[in-house]
Amino acid sequence: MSALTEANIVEAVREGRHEGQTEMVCRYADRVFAMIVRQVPDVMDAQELTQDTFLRAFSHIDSYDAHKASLATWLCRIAYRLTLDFLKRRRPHIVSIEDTQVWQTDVSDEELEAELSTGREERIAKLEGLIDELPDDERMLLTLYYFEDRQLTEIAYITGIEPKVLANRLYRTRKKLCNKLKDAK
Amino acid sequence: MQNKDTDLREALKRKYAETPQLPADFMTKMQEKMQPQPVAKTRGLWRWMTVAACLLLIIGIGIKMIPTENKTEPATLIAQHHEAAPATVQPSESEKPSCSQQQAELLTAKGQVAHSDKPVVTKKEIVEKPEKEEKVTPIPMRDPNIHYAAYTEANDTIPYQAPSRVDDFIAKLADYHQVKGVPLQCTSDKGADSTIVSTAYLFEEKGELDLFARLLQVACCYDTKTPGYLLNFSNKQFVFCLKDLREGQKYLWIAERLNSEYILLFSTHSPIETNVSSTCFQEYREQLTHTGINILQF
Repeated sequence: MSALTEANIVEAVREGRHEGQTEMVCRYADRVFAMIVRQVPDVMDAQELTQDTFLRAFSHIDSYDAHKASLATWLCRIAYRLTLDFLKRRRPHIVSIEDTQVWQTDVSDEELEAELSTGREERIAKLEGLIDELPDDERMLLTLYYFEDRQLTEIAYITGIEPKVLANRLYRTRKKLCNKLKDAK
Repeated sequence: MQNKDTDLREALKRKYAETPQLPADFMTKMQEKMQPQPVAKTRGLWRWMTVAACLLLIIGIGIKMIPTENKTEPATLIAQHHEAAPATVQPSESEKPSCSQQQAELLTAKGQVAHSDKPVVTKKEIVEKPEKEEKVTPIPMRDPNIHYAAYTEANDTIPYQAPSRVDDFIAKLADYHQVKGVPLQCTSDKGADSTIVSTAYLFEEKGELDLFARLLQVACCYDTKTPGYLLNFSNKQFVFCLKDLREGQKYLWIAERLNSEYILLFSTHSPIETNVSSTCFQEYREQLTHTGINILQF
């Protein structure tokens, strides 16, 4: 069974064959679950969402296009949507005034990078806490970009947001973290 | 090239260092959920079958709602009609019976008909009314000249609904509530005009009456494609216009709430080409309220 290629799995799921579905779950469940559980702390919830992701994938397998992304990325795309919806239901998104205000001074990308690459222990510890305070979509963006090391184009596919917009959002999030770090001093 | 942001990377790495593993029973639970999952093709089939069923239902309801004379018009009425006016073009088939039924329902809805000493309005009365109206205006079919100009059934795009029925309804309602209709002397651009028939009613605003709702229901009986159809209403004012191309008349009804205690209702009809001045409405209203208002030009 493990010799099945991605295309074989997709074909088997399209035909409604049980072995195709099982193989898809066996092969990608860990990755999908890991992505979800980073955002949803409750393991049971994360497990439910992982199951929903696969069930959604089985029922929408016709919409999968192998030319656009790998099967794993497509599954992450479904998982991302389900997780975000779940988090929105669980805790309403509150936009603080700080988030919406226009910062008076513009910071260059290099300056931001310098601010976020000090290697100082207290700043890293502070950042751990600040990441939790971020809105769900921004936190997920940081995780996909920095922790999972995905390219912006891949993240764009997963999130359904244009790469340019994502880059802008990433810059804003980094700047927000920098400002919070300065405020915390 | 990806940003370095080493602090951020390190923070995320520490934060997610102890990510829980996929529970051991995940696969078992997943298998349970996978079992009842129907094959995609079967699901697609069901989806199409549901859509088809919905379409059939909608078509069925649509067919049912098309007014058919044979089903709704009592046979006795048709027989009487042919006896009375054998040479007329129009049998009573163009009448829309649902309206008269609804009017009857409106009158009986709040139990005002039953157990009352006041004049009783029955369904029969309303149903028989158009028969009399049609006797008044027979249009000879065999005369080609008249036939050309006549408003014949063959040329009707929608079933004919007599606008005068609204007046009948208002008159009966006023009679029941002991409201006296006051005839108004309205003028046209030619001066005093006896062809304009205008009546004002002053209803007391009572919960049980709900005149606005009743007028609105009556207006809704008429097809919006009826000639001259115009319906405009708010919480304070109700305006309804119709034209009767058979009779060559145009109709206007204006109802207005006064001081939350009364509703002033004007009912006017005149020949289509007549331009009725709204002065008579304004003057009558000013008599009642001592304040001037602008009423829509008819």
